[in-house]
Order: sequence, then C-alpha cells, then structure tokens
Amino acid sequence: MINWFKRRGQIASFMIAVIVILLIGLMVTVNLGKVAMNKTHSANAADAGALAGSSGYNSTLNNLAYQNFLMITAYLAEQIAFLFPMTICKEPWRYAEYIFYSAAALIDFYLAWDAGNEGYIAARNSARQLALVNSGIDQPKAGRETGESYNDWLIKKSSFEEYMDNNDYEQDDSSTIYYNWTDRVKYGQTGSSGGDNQVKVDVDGPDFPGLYPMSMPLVGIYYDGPFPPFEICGVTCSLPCFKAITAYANCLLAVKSAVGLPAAVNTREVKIGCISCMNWVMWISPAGVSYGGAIFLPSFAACGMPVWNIGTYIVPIAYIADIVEDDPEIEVTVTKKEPRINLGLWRMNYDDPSGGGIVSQSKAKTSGGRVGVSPKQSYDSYLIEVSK
Amino acid sequence: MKERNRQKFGLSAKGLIFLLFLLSIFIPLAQAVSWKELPVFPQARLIKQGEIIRNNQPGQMSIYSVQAKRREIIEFYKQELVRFGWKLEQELAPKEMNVLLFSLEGQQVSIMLQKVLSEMCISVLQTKNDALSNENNCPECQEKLKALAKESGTLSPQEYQAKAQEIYQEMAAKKKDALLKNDSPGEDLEFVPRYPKAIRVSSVKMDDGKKVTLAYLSQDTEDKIADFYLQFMGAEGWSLDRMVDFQNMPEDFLKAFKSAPPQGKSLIFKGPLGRCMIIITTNSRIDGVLIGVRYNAK
Repeated sequence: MINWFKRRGQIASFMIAVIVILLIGLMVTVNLGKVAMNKTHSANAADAGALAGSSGYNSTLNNLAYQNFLMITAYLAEQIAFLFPMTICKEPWRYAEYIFYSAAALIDFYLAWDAGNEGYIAARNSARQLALVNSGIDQPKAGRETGESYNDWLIKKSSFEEYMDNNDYEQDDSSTIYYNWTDRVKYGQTGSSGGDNQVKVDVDGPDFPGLYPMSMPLVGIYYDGPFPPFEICGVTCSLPCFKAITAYANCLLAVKSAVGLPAAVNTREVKIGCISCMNWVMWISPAGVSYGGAIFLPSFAACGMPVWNIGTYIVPIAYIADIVEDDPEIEVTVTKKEPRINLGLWRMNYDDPSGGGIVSQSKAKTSGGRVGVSPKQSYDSYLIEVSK
Repeated sequence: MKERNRQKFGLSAKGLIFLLFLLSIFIPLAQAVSWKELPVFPQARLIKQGEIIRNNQPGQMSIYSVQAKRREIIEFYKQELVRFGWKLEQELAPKEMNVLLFSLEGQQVSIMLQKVLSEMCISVLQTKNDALSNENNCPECQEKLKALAKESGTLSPQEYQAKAQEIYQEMAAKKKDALLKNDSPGEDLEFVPRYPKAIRVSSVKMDDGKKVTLAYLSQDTEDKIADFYLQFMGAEGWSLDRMVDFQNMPEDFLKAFKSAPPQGKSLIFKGPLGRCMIIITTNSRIDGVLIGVRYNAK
C-alpha cells in the first residue's frame, strides 16, 4: 500500500536539478574566472611590457644626455687649452692637437650613437621580456626521465624558463614573437590536457633614429712680436711702421707656407689708422681665409706692440646637436590564446572561432628630457594608453 | 742638570719638528702659482673649474654658462677687470665669438664668449706671462728683423718686404724642423707605454691629472703602432675594450654627416685606473702618424 503521506525523496530530483545547476554555475564561474584571469594576465603583460620598453628608452636617452654633457664639457675644456697663447711658429703642435681632438670627439660621438642603437634594441627586448613574464605562462616542466634522480628533476627548468633564461626572445628580429606551450596535466587527468596555447607579443617601438652632430670651432690664441723693433716707432709714424705691418702679414704667409698651409692671406679690407705710432693698427677682414676646415683670422697687428692673432679650427663633430626624433612611443600588444582551458576538473573548450584570443594593448611614452644642445637628464616614462 | 738639558733638547726637537711641519706646508704653497681673483658675471653658473697644465705651462680655468646678452658680458668684464687694474690688451671677434685678452703683473687672462648649451658660455683662462715668453722663442727671428729694421731707411718698401719675407721663411722652416724633432714640454703618463722614437707634440693635464691628453708623432706605420699598443698596454694592466677603425664605421653612421672620416683607428682600453683611448691617425698636413692618448681616471 502506498503511503501518500510518506512522499520521501520528493526533493531529491529537485535537489539533483539544483546541484546540476549549481555545478554548471560553478563551472561557468570558474571558467569565467579563468578567462578573467587570462585577461588580467594579458593586460598586465601589455602594461608591464610597454612600461619596461619605455623605461629602456628612458635610460638610453638619459644616458645619451649625460654623454652629451660630457662631450660638451670636453669641448669647452679643449677650447680652454687652445686659449694658451703660443707663437705662430708652434702652430703645428696646435694643429696636431686639433686633429687628435677632432678624431677623439668623432669617436665619442660614434660611441654615443652605438650606445643609442643598442639601448633602443634593449628597450624593445625588455618590453618583450616583461610582457612574456607577466603573461601567465604556466608551462609544466617535462616529467622525470628514466634514470633521472628526483633532485635533478627538481632543479630542471621548464621550456619557458629556459627560453627566458637564454633570452631566446631576443633572437627574433621581427616585431612579433610567439610562445606556444601545452597545459599542465593534473589531478589524475588522462590524455592531452590541451595544446596550442599561445602568447603573442607584438612590440611596436622605434629603431634608434640617429643623432645630429654639432660642428664647433676651436679658437687658438697666437702671440707674436713685437714686429719689428719698436725703437723705430718712437720717432714718427712713418714708413717703417707700415713696413712692419706688411712684414707681419708676410710672416704669416711665410709661416703658413712653411708649415704646409695654403699661402694666402685675406687682405680685402685693410684699414690703416695712425692713432699714435705705438698704436698703428692694421685690421684685416674677419672673413679670414678658409682651408681644409680651419680658418685663420689675422686680426690686429700693432707696430711696437705684441701682436695677438687667433686661428679658428673647425671641429666637424664636437658633440651631439640633437637626436633625430625625440620622445619615443612604444606600443605592446599581448594576445593570449588558450583554446582548451584546463580547469583541473575537466577540459573545457572555448575555441575562438576567429582564431584570435584575449587581446590587451598598452602604449607608453618617454619624454621630458633633452639629448641635444642643452642636455637634460630628466626623461621619464609613463603609460599613455592603459589596456582594459 | 742632565734632565734639564734633555728637557731643553726635547723642546727644541719638538720645535724643530713643528717648524719642519710648517715648512712642509708653506713651501709648496709658496711655490704654487697664486692666481689673482677674478670677478664672476652675476648669476653665471659654474660648469668646470680647476688647474690646467699645457706643455708644462700652468693655467687656471673656469667655465661658466649664463643667460645674458653677449654685450652685457663683454662690458662687465671690461669694466670690472679694468677696475681691478687689469689692462685690456686685445679684443678679438671672430665669427659668433668674442675674445678678450687682459694682463696684470705678469699674469694674463683670456676670456672667450660663445654660444654653447643654448646659453652664453664664458671660458676664462689665467696664465702667466713668463710662460708666454718661453713660448715666444724665435730669438734669431727677432734679431734678424731688428737688424733689418735698422737699415729700413735705406730700403724701398718692396725690398724691405722681400727681405723680411725671406727671414720669416727661413725661421719658419727651421722652427718646423725643430718642433717636430724634439719633445714639446710636458710629461708622459707612467702607466701608458710610449711608442719608441715618437716625438711628444702636446700634453694637457686637467683635474689634478685625472684627465690627460697627449699627442705624439711617429714615422712608423699605423699598423705597427697599433700592434705596439695592443701588445704592451696589457703589461700595464689595460685590457682592450673596443677597437674602432675610422674607415669601417657603419654606413648609417657615416651618412649622418658629410665630412669624410679621418684615416686610422682608435683603440679603447679599460683598466683599474680608468679609461684610455689611443688614436692613431694621419693627416695630409702632418708628416708622419699622429698618436693621441686620452686618459680619464676612474
């Protein structure tokens, strides 16, 4: 006889349904959580990559600004050394100094350029490195091989760890790198736990744009004379004074010719004024004579007085005038694909029909300093587009 | 009595030691060049200051930068230095630069203004005039010119000019020979080997010897000189950090500037003492190979 009042198990089917719904809910939640975690990973990876790359540009540019400051200081110090007066007869010494300094400054400029080049490459590699490290790649290491001790297995690294340790991400010259792996097998799962996982890191950062050189003069002071003997001038402002001046111009010519300079003196605007005999002054146009990068400016010659002259030597590259393109921006895009996410409970497929994945994009910029003429080591890096 | 004598002797010994101590301080101070104090342009920012020794001539340098008009700076130095007794010897104005030369009691000041660092840069160098007279050592030149001047009254301008030119040419040729056959004054670096038979043509020391540049001239080939430095720098504790051949610089780098690179190469060494750059180069105006040594202490 059926006891209609003892309807035991009535709730069971309801409970089963609830449990199933809850389980499905749990799975969905876990799955969504996993998806959210992947999104977080990719977003963090993009942000970290962009910021790391930008920091790389930042330190490179600050280093270049410092190098330029040193080059400018070296130029100014060299200029000071050129201010030591010497007779024009010793000009070959100064010319040797000029040749040496020009070559040394060229080397400094070249080393700065090279450091900039390497710094920009390192910045992009740094962006790749940080993006990969933060992208949540959880690749298991290979299982123990036959004969491998447990201790050896413990210290063994996963392929991803080896990939990072060997800086393999630097080997690829293209702007996009891919890392593929398979998920961990756990909790007694059988069979493949899913493959084709991939992190794609796309770094869009500039190559080193190059530097503009700054050509600067080195002004050397020459002291000669008095030419000719002053006693003549004590009498009157007469021909000998004029002769003396002419002789001095010829001395310059002769010395230049003897030391191998083109024998030419610019005498376009010759003004002779007789203020007093002790102050006979010949002024030769400051346009001077240009030869092979150096300019001589015979300027004043005073009868009975010491004669001061300046020789101007043009240094083709004294320091950095500017960087070709300032304030670099770097954009890092991280795409993470885990087509069959292993939840640890069972495999769930969520293949993206478009073949894409979870994409995060971040952009960072470096600015605030200056490499060129008035160097400022105040470059800073910051995110300008944060991935969401 | 003995005790007293000992005390006396003890005191005098102490006194002697103290005296020697004082002398050890004051003698070098007395020997050091005392530079006259110079006015500084208001609000000028000091970039570098210190002693500089060029070919054994001491100098005191100061480099400033300031946001001011060129004319204001020139007027300031003209007024202030003259007020302190300095005599303006010369004012020169090559392109976009100004040079003022002053002298006072055996000292000389060169002030140079130029636009660097997007500001006006003031380079000030104090030197001693006796150093200048050492430099001006063309005595034969002076004597011959004096003799010529004495007979100038009997010569036409053309004759005078021709004779003077002859003297200058002879002197210049002699000078050039002498210059490139003997060491210029200065000191070598103890810890950087000197290329055998090379002539020192320049020596500049700054920052108490922390920055030294030396230039030598040799008649050997570039490769032989480079091999020498590669072989012997190691014995002094230097290791080659980099070698740059001027002719083999990357194309993108060479494209950046129009002037042709110099001939030769540069060897950059690093060591416990600092960094040393050796530049081996040739130039059409120089007979021989120029060896430049630039040392920067750590």
